[in-house]
Amino acid sequence: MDASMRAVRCGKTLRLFSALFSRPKTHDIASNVYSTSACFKSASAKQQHPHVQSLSSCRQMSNLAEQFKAATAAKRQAVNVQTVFRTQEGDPTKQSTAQEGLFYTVPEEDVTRIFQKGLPPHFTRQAKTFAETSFMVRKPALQVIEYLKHLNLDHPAPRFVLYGKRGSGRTLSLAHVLHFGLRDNWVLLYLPWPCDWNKWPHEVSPSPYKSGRMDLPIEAAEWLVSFKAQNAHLLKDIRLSQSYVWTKRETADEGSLLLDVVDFGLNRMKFATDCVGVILKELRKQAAMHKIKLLVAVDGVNAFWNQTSVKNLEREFLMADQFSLVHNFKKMLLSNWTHGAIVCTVDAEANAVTRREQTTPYYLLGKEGFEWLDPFVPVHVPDYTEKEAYSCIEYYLDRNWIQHEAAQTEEGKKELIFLSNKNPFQLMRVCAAK
Amino acid sequence: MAAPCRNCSSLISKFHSLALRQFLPVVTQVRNSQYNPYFMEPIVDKKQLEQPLDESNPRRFRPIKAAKTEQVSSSYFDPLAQKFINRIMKDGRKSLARDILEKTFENIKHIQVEKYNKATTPEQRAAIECNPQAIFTQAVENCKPVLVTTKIVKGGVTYQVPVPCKPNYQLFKASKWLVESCRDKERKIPMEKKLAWELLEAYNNEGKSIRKKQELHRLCEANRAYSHFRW
Amino acid sequence: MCCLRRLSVVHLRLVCLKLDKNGPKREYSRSAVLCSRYKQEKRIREVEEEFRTFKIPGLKTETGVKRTQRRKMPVPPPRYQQMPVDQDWTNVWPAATTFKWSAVPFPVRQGYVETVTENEGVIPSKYANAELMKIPNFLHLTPAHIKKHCAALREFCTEWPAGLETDQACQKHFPVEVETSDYCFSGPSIRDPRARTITVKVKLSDLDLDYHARDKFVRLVGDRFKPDTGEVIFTTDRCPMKKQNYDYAMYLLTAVYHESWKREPWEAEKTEEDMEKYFWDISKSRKTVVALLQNIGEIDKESAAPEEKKLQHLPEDTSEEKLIAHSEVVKYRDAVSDLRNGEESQEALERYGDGVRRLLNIQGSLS
Repeated sequence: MDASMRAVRCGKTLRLFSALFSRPKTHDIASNVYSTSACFKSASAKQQHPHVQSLSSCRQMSNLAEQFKAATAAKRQAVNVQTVFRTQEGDPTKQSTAQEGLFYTVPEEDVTRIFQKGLPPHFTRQAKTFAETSFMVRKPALQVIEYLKHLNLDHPAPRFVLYGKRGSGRTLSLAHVLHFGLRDNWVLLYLPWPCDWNKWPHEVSPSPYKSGRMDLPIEAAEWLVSFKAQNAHLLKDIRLSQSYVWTKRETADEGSLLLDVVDFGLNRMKFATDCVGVILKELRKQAAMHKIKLLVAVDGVNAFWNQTSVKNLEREFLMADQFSLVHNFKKMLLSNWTHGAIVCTVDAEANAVTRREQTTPYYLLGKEGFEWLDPFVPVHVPDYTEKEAYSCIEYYLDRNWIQHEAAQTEEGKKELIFLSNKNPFQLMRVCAAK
Repeated sequence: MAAPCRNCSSLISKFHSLALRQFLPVVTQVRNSQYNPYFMEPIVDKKQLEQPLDESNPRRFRPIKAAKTEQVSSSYFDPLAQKFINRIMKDGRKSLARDILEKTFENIKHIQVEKYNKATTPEQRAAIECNPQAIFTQAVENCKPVLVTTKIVKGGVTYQVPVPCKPNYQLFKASKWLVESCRDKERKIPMEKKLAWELLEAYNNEGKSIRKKQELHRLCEANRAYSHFRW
Repeated sequence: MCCLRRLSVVHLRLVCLKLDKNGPKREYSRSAVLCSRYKQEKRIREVEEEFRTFKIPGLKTETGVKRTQRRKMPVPPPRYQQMPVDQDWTNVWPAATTFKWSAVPFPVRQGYVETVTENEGVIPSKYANAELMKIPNFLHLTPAHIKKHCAALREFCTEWPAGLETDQACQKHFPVEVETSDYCFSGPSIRDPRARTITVKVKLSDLDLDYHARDKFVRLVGDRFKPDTGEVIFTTDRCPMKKQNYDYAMYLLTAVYHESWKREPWEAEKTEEDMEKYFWDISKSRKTVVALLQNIGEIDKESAAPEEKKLQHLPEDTSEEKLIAHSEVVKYRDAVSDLRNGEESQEALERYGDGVRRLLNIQGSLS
């Protein structure tokens, strides 16, 4: 505490070093810093070149743009400090609390594999602009990863529910866990935002398998595509344990490849939803045989216990579990299968407008949803800490995202943090126009 | 001038406004202002606020206007942007107008920073301006007209007479052109996108608003012969 | 004015005529003659002495009239200056009255001065201070006054019953509180309809009730039970007389009490939704947890996983009764019950999470 207080007073360079030395594992971090010698150089450079050129000299220049350019160039020269906001540890399986609050870059192939859908739109756009996708290593995700690492896979799948305020980073924490899952060879069953099924289903057709249920063929096919992209490398040898009959002519025989079922679903959209059901069932069986380990991840799981915008023939609104897709995935949320884990988030936005007052799991899930998931481990996703907020601002500065000269100063940074109240999403929005 | 007195500043201001109106009618003609001209503008800049006032500083005895809601002591405060927001605003929906300008800056950054990151050589990178405030300021500067025409009736005939443009009117014209040329574009595209494109174009001395300025200049050039009608 | 002058001239002539007419009267009687002569002489004398003035009746001249002036009484000095230090204040200020500056012996100021120029910037003192007269004063309720009041009331009081010294004792011996009101009314009828209302207050804790009876009692009385004070309040006003209403309130209390002790056959059909709060024992949570633990127990028997990853705290016998009494399950049960019955706070959620982690042996803590 004392160290950080002093750091704020003495400026950027000192903060870097106090952050370095206040931690017990100095060596681990030092290896993650870009170069400590650069800090010394820049510190001396800072003394020689004053931050801003004096205003009067600026006025002499005719072109305003030239002035700005000169000013920003001078600043870049002066503040060339590489503060610790980034870790080179890109593998989530090796990350620990030493990397907490630091950004790591997700390799491009991992992003295209897992996150074709699912990352928040603002974040995706920024990632495109930054020419990289980086996650901050934060405590909630680390905590869940730690649980997953120490799991007894023989036991029934445990459930973890991430909850927190709006914009606190639940989805990105889940994404971090998913990245861990990818690197740790888990089969990912990821639903990015099932609330969309409730609100804007593309196409609704009655289920050929069970009357009374509704199929969402397009959504099912979308999921199959992403599922294949995420897990194809793990499922090459997985074969069906029983045969399934789609029609008289089309069957999936026992012993045929599971990926063939995926392809069949993509070719015959009518059966895409049923294919999802079959895949989930087969994966559970395979997991029980210890061939694979499953990581079920659902963002906004409380959408499963909500009303949809689809009406049945009696003109009543359907409940979400009348969609066969939801029905099948709800089975995955029960703790009656082994060799896997379930990580979900609860989100007020996935609820009806009348039930969005709190952000806690029981309120959002309702009685039925709570009892379905019970017993689960709730994991709170808090707002940024002071360190994390500074780290985020430094990252934005590094990516040329914050362009305003004031953001280079301690006062400007404090103002950004104050305006956002350390809420990650708000900080992102506040920085967007600066 | 009356001797300054601490307790009766309001009295003095009344007297002053009367005196000023009597002797300097042009100076006191402030349209739509709640304050009489004796009031001074508030200071929002923190550094300026910290500096001590000397004994003879008029701020010691003249009343100060109340700060407007948008005038804040933030280090990110930009008076030009605030003026521009008022140009964007429709029906007094200021928060919406502010959002539009903020998103415009964000869009500019997205366009420019992406270019910057794609550029390979340092020379190319140095040529790309990423600062949205700088682009905005320069774009407005580029759109400012030097001359405008005014109608003058001589012998029953109305002439469009070129006159030099005052700084306030320059700013008004520039912002108006920038905003209106966006409003003329495709309706379904959000304003913040169109404005970002327009500002970037104006920054490079291209685009609709720049053309509007040039047209006005051409008109002034054509009516050069009438310029003596100014007097 | 002109008219008035002409009138006076006419009058003068008339007087002259009268004088002439008096002439023949002299010859009839001597005394009358003498008298008339005297009068005449007097009149002539008067005429010669001074100019006769004509007096207009009703017209008064101000000059020479001196007003009688009332004798001014000397203003006595204000009373507070003559007050002895040991005076009886109750005699000075016996009853509630407006503030009187001369009778108040202490200095007091009240009011507001806007500028330093007004009253030299000093808040006005008590002399002729209207502000002090506007506000209520309590100079008639000093301790001395109260002492006198009590002394006067003493002869009408009875002794306080022994054993009821404290409020707790009163509450214990007289748990039922009855409120009635009487009204004085100056009218043709001395009845007031409001006087019939009876309010009976009982603390629910004073009634002899078990959990079921208490719950039924609360459900029966509905909003007459105030959860924040724990009181049941019956207000009866349906009968015309006070006595009848009192009897009715007592009947209600008795009836509800006895009714709440009864167990009707349909009460056995109460399901989880009808429960007044969350009971873990009849909840779905119990079923899932028991099934889960039994499942884990079976898995652990066959599993080759290292000991510390198994559920070591699980008892050998995984029958339902044993599992429910198991300490980890009890902790989990309490955490769930807290979460469901109380507020869903951060702490409650953390306790629930801890309970679940210990129950299922989920390891992995951040350093």
